[in-house]
Amino acid sequence: MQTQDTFEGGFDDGRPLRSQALVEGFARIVAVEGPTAWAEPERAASCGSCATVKTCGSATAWFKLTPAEASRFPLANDFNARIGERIVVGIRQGSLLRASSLAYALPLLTLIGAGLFAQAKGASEGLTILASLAGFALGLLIAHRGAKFLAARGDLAPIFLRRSSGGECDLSAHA
Amino acid sequence: MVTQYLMLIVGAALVNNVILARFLGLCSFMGVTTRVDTAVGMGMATTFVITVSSIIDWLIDTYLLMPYNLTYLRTFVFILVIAAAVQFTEAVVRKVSPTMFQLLGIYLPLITTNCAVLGVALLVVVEKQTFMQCVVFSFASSLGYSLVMAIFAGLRERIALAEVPRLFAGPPIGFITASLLALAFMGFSGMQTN
Repeated sequence: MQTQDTFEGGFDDGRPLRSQALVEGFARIVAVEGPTAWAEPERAASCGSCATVKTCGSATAWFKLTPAEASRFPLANDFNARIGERIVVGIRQGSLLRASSLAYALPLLTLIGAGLFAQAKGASEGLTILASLAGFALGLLIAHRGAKFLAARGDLAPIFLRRSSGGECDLSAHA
Repeated sequence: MVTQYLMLIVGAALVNNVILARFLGLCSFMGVTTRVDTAVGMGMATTFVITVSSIIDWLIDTYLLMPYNLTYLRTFVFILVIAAAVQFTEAVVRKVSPTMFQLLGIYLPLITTNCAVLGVALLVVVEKQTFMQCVVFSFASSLGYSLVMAIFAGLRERIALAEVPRLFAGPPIGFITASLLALAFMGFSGMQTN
């Protein structure tokens, strides 16, 4: 992935796309169904800059365990996508931060909040543990709802940026 | 109680920072900090995994390993728990939102082999903390990890734009910057010792 502040694009959310920092990634078109093109992100370990990347098997093993279809996503096919085509997609940096906060930070904060509340009320350690777990479950539920809301608003949807040129590669992996 | 937890947070996040004071998680510290967005994504995913796995490890250690005198299995069990916690995190993110999984899932493989996760889990049980101390300590430690990752990524982004002598370009200037950052964090040791 790489971040880009300017690119040739239209308008989104009332603001020109060029003013929004985007996190770029590579994807490959795997299916075209009328107005929708389905793409799969290219799988690159973010530790690509590590000197031992060629001998490190952790990321490779992980990718074998996780099916690629799980991360397939739709794109509006207004660019005449062809199956097998390599494209560059972008996601707003703000969306990435919102998604991280929702998926990771919220359940932890509700877990800690519920635990501290139970302890402040003089609960035993067993009850504190149960309260924390309940808080964690509540946080996950809220995160699930929040993600649905963000997805409905189109906040998490990747945007087609351009067709990938021949030798273009993920710079972040080699920086 | 509030003061006790505040001291615990400051101690874990700043004074005894996982990366700059305990020297854990250095692989991801050097490998994923070339851009701020990847560093923040990795930091948040690691925060989640460190906290969740430390809690599970504490529960297993307190209610299973200690009562049955199986503490010699600690490291082995903790590694298994971490791998399971990473799988759990993947399942959670995928359940919360498949699009989010596509955005955030790339950092998960790195966390399985991040020694900071095992380090914090072991510190929690060695220091014989209570459940809430374990929760707050592991959360604060991982916040300290994320903070340093974000700061260092910001510095490296600026360095990438600077004219660095050829001899120091790349990892050497990165290590020099890291050492200066570690010196800066040593200033916090005057605040509290843990």
